[in-house]
Amino acid sequence: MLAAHGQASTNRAARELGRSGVAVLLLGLGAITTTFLLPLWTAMLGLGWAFGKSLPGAGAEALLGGLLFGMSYLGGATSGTISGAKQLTWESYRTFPVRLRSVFLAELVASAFDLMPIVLGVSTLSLSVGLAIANVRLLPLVPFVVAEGIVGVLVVQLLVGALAERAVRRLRLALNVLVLVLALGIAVGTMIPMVNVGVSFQDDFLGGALATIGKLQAVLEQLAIILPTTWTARSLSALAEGHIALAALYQLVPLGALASMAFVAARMLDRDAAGDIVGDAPPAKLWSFRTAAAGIARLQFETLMDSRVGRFGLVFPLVVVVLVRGPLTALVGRAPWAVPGAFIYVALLGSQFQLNQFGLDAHGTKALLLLPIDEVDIWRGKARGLLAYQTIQAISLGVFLAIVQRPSLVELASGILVFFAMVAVQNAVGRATSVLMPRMMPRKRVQSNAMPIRLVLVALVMSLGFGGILGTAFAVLARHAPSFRPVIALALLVIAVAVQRALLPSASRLLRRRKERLLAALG
Amino acid sequence: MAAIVLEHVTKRFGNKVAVADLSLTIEAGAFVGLLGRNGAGKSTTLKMLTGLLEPTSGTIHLLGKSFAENALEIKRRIGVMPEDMALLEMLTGSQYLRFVGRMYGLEDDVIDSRRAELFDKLDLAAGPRTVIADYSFGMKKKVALSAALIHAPEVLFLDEPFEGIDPVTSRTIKDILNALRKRGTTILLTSHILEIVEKLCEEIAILEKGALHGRGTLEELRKGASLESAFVDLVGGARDGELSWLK
Repeated sequence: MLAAHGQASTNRAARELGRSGVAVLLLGLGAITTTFLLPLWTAMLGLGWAFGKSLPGAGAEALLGGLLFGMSYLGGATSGTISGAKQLTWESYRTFPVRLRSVFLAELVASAFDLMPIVLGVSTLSLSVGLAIANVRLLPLVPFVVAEGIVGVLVVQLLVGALAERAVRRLRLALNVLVLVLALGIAVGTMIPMVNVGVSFQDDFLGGALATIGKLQAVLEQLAIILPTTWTARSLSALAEGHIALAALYQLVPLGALASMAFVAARMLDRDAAGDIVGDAPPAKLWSFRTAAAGIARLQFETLMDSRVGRFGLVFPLVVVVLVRGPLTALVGRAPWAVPGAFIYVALLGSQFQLNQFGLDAHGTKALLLLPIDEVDIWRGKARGLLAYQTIQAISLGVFLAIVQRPSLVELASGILVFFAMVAVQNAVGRATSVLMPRMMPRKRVQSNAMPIRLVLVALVMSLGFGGILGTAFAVLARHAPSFRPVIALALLVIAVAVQRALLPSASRLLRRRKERLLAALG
Repeated sequence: MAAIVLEHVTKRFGNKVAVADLSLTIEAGAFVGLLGRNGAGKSTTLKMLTGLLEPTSGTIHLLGKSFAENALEIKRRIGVMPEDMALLEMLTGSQYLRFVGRMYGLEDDVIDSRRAELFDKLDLAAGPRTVIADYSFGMKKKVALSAALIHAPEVLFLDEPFEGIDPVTSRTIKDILNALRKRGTTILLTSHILEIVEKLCEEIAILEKGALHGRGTLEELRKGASLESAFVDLVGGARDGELSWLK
């Protein structure tokens, strides 16, 4: 099963990425590893050393238990929410004479090669090595801590993924709510220091953070008793004191918790593969529309709202607000370009849909081209559907910013106008790139990692070009002629829409000429 | 009057010639089976006839009009069921038929009544919110066939319509196709199931390596033998079916 999965993954990567794609991927991974992962893993090594020196001790046990819980259980839950559940095709393997536990074990191994498990797994390994360096007596338990950490991520990831899959099938918005709650949690978490300390982030970020950590420690100590990972920490403490039997006994708790979750996850995945989910929901609503363009618009909008990547995009405005008022507040604060910058950023995040407008239709693109629909109507419909989706993003961002950032009406209006100017330009450029560089986008996964290098470059140029030029223009205007900002933004919007409309006939001819290649790329 | 006319149609993919100088005329109301081995060019021919592929050279006329110049008008009058079905899989079966029906200009109530009748006849029962992506292969075939029929097309192209279909539904589809033939609909069908082609089609065209290898009525091609024998004789390449480890 693993060999088949490995071969299929390699073939898919070769087909979708090509040489240039692999180069970009390796470059990206190299950049992430050197700038983020290596420092993270070094920090974890140091943290492990500090914990190794602090054990035994109730406070250290609670903190270590909380940290391990965060890395394995919460990390697994996040990974399961954003990247979906299964790697293997369980439906196919059901036909072979293989035991459920074999399929599940293969699934665990296959899932381990996702980005999140790798990051969290190596972090746990670094932490454990740090523990052993600080106190060599802990060495016998290190393999257990590492294994529990990695298996914890994988099992929870599968369990949450299976639950999310069911939630999505039974209640379409459940996953949205889950992601929204997570994002709200992050938002509240980021703002706690401001509320608690009563000073701004810029003034006393460290004080606020320390106060929060102090409060979190108190909460963690109270929760420690129910966290399986705290028993891992207690086991380490017992071993540090030389109580080998007690250490082994404490290990039963985390191992038992993992085994129970693995059992439940395996049963759920098996039942899902067998098609046990019974839909008792009311019939799906049937649409009606007057024109072909209206039908395509509805289809585009519903496709976005029905896909995980589309739903995830609706959380972006909140994430941007959290960034602006949280980690980036020292950098952004109340800078004159903060509000338009936030709108530009959210608009740019829509590039993945605008630059690849057939991506989520995938094989269904053939259905569109078989039906008596003029190419002009296809483009018009797609533009309207995307506009509806991005309008929701703009409105949410406007509301969140109004609450948190309290911008002036001029700032808000300018931001919104620039946002729609960006959307129009993206749409015009996207009509060409969607035909010339199409790629399938997975509907049930947030990752869409098959972006051709040329499309990456187009997105990059748009981001740097528009972000840089518009951001600078707004900063200059804000300083010298602040009241002119909405006028300039409106002018930009009018020009962008005029250009988008003027290019429509060319885009239609391009679609007619290149439909063979489009269909070949999208199956 | 000819419903389908291909004149010296060639389709190349790079150096590979998928269809070679194919000329074929099908009269209105005819029921023609297009046969050929895997890779013979059947699906490529159907894709060119339905506008998904442009011929490298040659011309295609449907219902008396050039496809290249009247694509939209022709598409409104034909029904297509591609081999891979080409469905919008994020929709439910009912939503998909409403979408397709509206694109053909049908009113909502007409679509809904035809859809109910089609689903009933084809025994298509899916969960009310189950999207097509979660349908079985056979169910997807039924939805694709329904979409091809919902606007009562004048010309119907069916690529492997019986693949993955149960015998009871297969019988229903045959009845529907016979009724369409009596109504005067032109039908071009590809299938590897020769028994079905024998029962349904009046005429057969056999493709091999992208070229027409035989054309005629069933009786003309069979010459007293079975269609399978006639087909194998025409295209050749039959292998001995004995396996070394099963002797």
